[in-house]
Amino acid sequence: MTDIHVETERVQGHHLLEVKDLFVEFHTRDGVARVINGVSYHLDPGETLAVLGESGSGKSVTAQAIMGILDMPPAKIPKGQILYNGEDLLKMPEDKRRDIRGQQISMIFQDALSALNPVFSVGWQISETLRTRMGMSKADAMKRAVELMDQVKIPAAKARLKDYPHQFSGGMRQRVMIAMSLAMDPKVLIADEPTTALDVTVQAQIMDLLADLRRDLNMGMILITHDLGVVADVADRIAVMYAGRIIEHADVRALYKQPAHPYTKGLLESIPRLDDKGTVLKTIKGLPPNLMRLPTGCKYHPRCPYTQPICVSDEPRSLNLGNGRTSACHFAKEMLSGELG
Amino acid sequence: MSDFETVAATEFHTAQPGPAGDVNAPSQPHSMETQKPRSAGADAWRELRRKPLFWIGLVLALFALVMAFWPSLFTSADPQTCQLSRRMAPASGGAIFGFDVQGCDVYAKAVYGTKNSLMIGGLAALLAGVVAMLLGVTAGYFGRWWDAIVSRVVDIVLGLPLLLAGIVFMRRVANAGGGANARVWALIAILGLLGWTTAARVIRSSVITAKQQDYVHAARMLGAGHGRIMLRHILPNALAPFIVIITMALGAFIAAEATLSFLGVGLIPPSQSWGLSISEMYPYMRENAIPLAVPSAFLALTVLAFIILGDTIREAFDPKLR
Amino acid sequence: MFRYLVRRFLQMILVFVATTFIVFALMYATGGDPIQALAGERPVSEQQRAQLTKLYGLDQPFLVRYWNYLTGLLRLDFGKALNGRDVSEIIASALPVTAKLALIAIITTIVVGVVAGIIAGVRRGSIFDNSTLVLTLIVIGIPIVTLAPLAQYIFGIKLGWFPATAAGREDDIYALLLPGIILGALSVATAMRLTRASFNENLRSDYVRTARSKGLPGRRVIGVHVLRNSLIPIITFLGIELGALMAGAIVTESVFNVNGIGFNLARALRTEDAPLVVGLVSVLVIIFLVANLIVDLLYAVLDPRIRYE
Repeated sequence: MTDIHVETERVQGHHLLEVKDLFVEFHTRDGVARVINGVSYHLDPGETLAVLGESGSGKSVTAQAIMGILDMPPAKIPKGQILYNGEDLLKMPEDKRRDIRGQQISMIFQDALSALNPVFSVGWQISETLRTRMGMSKADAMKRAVELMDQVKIPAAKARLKDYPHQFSGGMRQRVMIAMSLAMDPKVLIADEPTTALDVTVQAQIMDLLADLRRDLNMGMILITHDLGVVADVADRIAVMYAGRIIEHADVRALYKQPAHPYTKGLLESIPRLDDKGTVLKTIKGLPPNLMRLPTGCKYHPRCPYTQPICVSDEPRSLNLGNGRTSACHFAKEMLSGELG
Repeated sequence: MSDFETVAATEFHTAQPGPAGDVNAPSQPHSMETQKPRSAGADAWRELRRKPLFWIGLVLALFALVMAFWPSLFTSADPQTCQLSRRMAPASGGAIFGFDVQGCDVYAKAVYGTKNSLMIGGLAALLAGVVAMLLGVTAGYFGRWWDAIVSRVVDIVLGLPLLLAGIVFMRRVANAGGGANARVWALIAILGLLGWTTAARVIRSSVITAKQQDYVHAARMLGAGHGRIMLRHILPNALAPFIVIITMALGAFIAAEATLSFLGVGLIPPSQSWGLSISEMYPYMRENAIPLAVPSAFLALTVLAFIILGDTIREAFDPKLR
Repeated sequence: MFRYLVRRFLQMILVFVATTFIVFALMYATGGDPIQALAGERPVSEQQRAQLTKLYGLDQPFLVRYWNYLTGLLRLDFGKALNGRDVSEIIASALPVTAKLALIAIITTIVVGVVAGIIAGVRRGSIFDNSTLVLTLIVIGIPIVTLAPLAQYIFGIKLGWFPATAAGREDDIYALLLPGIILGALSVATAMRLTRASFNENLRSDYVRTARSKGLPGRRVIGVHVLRNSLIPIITFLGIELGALMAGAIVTESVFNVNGIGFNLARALRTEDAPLVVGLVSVLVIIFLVANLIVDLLYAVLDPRIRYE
């Protein structure tokens, strides 16, 4: 299982962040779940990589592995590298790694209500790292917290400093979360389904905010989502995950124009469109695979409409299609040229 | 005296049904054809079977039960025939633990004391269980004024610690001139009527949780009556915590009987009871500790058996602890 | 908040009136001879009878007597014991002793129970965790009527580490240590399990993941974020427990001859001193209710999400 890594890689220097052939397993009483099976992707400053997939595809677990917040056990990383500015995070001693966490790479989570500590005020939580890690005085840290809250456009920031998370609306709570993640000027921001728990109108505002912040602060952003509709406007590149692998990786426009993997094609077709009134919406049949007992060959073959004998017997390698585009399908070229489907 | 209730109730709070997965664990979609559906009960049993502590508790409890019904299997001596000439005499023949201050066979007395302890604990737990079930289910299901009344009654009963209430009530029974037998039934009634509150609260809240589930709404819309909805859809959810609390209450009631008897407001001779023996032998502890130690050990092991049973069952039903 | 306070207070009064009524009615509203009920099974002379009737106002209707008793309680007048002493006087001398005992018990609970619970909760599944779980189960399972004499026999009489009784030495903390620890033993076990469960649950919550992703060191994640949340049920438990311990001290105080409320209550039961029993039970019920009220209010302080309407 060797994903050939995309060749946008610079000849000299390093990517800001690079995941190389990462494997993660969960050892549970019922057996071993192979959650990540050779994932590779990279991120450069100022760009947004969207990681797309159904729940259980391993997109969040990859992010947690980058952050180093997986519980080990039950999780285990048997193989792989996570390079930050060329240095392997997985080989670092814990305190050095902790320095990177939050300061270089920070993360925001899906449900801000449960992700924020219910018994501390938001000002306290935003300023916590400034006080304990940056050695700021309490007053300075609070002043900075107000600035951060202003930056994420929380109205009357100063007045709300002492409020508790449950006193905020869902959208405002997510802004608090974002302000907290920006406290130490990280270079990489990982947003794990940041808008899933929100109303549609609020979703758009949060996505716009994230896009603005990424541009203003020149961060690299990994946007994890299961919603293809969300990523089109903000992402530069998309990595589609299925059963713990990246099955397609492409520039956003290229991917929308012509998917090179049947799964991506299925996802695109299952987005409702305004111009197809009256037609039946297409869905992907079947269920995501059981990670304890993955199918043979291509992991997508039980659900794929184009399955051939080779798909059942052989696992497809990640095919390089040029321009940084890869696809892990035996028939990627046919998909791309439109001969299939 | 109500500590078992705190344990049972507080730890159950954490065991509400719901998404119980580890945050980090991947969601594991099961493909239909390979995974057999498992009920919570079967899962719990699978869990229980491999716990040595559960088996220890079960064996001890069954042992006590057999001893309560057929004490003559364990001793041929009569606990009532005491001879002062054998006062504090050492072990001889069947009297493997010797004789007490009145010259009674210590072992035989403890064996025959089992019946009262288990009967009082068991019947009081049964009574408390019935009261808790009736009030908890109806209060949770019908709500409104009935719920308000039941909740106030629970408040009032909880306002009197079980031991204090037991003292006051039993003193009243003693004054009314009840004999040894009347006191046994009085104890059952008092413990049962005072000890139902925690169980009722737990049932009430699980009924309220269950009532709001979609499948209950669906059943109601399909025209199911109140009785059917309660029996088929709501009670099964309340059952696991109910069993646990009642099992632990059984142990606690046995201990309460012993405590009240120790304080002189529980059973009186000629009833046989561990608490009574402890109360009688305690003043002679310095002279000879064995007549005190034997009923104490019987009492502790029996109470322990039911507490262990309740605790292991609770753990087995709590998916978060796995 | 104010409305809640008022409602909560009214509720407490209802419970207070109802419980004291039950206690009072059971003691005095006997179908038979109230004087005989007062004196228990002892014979009563005519002279005593007249004296008792006057002293306890038995010539008055029942509800009037209950009203007098209730208003008496509000003035801290708990009536007179059969030996003529004011019950409030007995309470005044016994309560501090019981309070000291309860305090030792609570400190033991915090030092041993909460700390062990934290360790077990953080190291879930470790040998420490499993062995303390079994140990606490045993402590919970052994009734106090067994535990107290056992401890007295082993540590007081056989090993001689502690005085076997505290009679006449109620000012000596050392003499109160063993009964205090025994009184707290049950709470230690419960507190340990509660702390463990609470830590376990909080350790798995999303905000812990957030705190870790902020790069906070593990001891800060546990010592600040998890602890602050776990403390809410623990402090609640300790508050209620303090009230319950006072009531639970009957056996411990009797065994160790500690001249506190419980000891006096046990003696009053033996000597069939009904007014003293009623007075002592009333004061214990009041302590229990007030402890519950304080805990309820404390809850709102500890958990900002709770807003009482």
